[in-house]
Amino acid sequence: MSMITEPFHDIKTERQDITKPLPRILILVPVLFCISCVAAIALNLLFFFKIKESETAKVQWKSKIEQETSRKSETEKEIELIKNEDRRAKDVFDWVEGSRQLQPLAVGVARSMGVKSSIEELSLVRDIENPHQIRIGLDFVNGGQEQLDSTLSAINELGYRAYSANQTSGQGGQVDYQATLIWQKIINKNNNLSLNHNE
Amino acid sequence: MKLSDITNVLSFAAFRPDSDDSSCMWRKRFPNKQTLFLNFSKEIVSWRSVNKDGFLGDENSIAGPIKEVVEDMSADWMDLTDGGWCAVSINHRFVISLETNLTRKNGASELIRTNPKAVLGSKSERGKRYALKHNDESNSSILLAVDEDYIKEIETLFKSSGLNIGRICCGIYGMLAESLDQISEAQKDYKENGDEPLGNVILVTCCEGSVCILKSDQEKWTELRSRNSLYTQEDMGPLRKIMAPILEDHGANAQIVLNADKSAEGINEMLSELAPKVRINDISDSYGLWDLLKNK
Repeated sequence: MSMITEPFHDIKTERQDITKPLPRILILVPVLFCISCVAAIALNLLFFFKIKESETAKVQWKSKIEQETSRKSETEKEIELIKNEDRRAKDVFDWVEGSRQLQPLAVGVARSMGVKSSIEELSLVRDIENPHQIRIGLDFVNGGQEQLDSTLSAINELGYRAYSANQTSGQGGQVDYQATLIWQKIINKNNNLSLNHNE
Repeated sequence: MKLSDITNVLSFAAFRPDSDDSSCMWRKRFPNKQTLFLNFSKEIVSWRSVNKDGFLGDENSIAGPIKEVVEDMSADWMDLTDGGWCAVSINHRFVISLETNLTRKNGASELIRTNPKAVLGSKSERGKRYALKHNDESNSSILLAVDEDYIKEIETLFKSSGLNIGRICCGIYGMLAESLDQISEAQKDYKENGDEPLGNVILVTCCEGSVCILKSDQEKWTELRSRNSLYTQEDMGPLRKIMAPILEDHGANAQIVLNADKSAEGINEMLSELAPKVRINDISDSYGLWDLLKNK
């Protein structure tokens, strides 16, 4: 076969608007354009699905947030109930703590009486609202102020302190004493004891 | 810049040659497309289609003038093509002559198509289309001249039938040029291998009733005779008459190179009778012209 690459003769009427093909290297332009189009479509699809995914996740998270918020409010309500219960329990505790038995107090007052003194009337009334407050009314004869101090010392030793005291002395050595006794916690004493014990 | 320019770049069409671009090979102009090759003389039209894979179809032919055949067959031919594109080989109303001292400036082959006077000088005639084949070893050239009116007539005829002509060539001239290229290659091989030169070569080319006989002395072309619509398969007498005087005075170491299509069946025997002592080198191929149209 011939090795000559001379173009085959052509005698047709020449068209004037014929342009030569573009250089092969420029084929990179449409190739890159096609690649970028395909990449743009692929990335758009990817972003579209990712956006859909994130929207779904957002909805899920929102519902989860709502659930958690409702759970939180429920928990807060429960906490409030528990706090109320706690408060009430503390009140009960305080009431119980304040409602000391009256027997030791009565015994303490009786034992504080001297030989010559005698109790004519002893009343111990606990305030319902404030159980740690006890209204004491004491009528005794003989002994006078000395006996009253001895009785108050005995009351103090039991952990009570007298407030709003009202004392009247009558004929024949009669003393009428009225006061409000308030229970004083002896915490320090207990702590000291526990500390001593630990030591 | 037009929008079509941009779309052509993006669709890669701008990187393919134009369908009308005669400087490009046919296959490159029509990749993956069906096209049609037509070869005709004064009395007969033959054609072959090329499918999308580039394979040639069966050869068909109809006797009759080109105008009537085109009018009858254009619809069938349209079905054999994508877009009606076809290449036309004419073997009628042409003259092939041997010329000397024609300019060989760069681009002369292209220039002769648009401005033949610039290449041929006073030898140029108005109303002719030309093609040129130079002898690389001497100052002689083979010149093809075809009537411009005839070409325009064919173009108008095909256009009116909806067919697009991508190439118009002269079949016998193409076969002649191809044979000369092959001979030239063979001579180069002989020289490189240190063999004896080919000697005097009488090149006989036949295509669709036309004949061209080129006689060469070593590598110089000395005589050329061409006739169009000279013979038919039934009447080979005129062919014998024109060949006889040339073959009579051949040199001692001459050989005949024959390149003929099937319209010249029996020419081999005729040459053997006319020059019994001369070696006949038959390079004919049934696909000869069709392969040229397809591959060039």
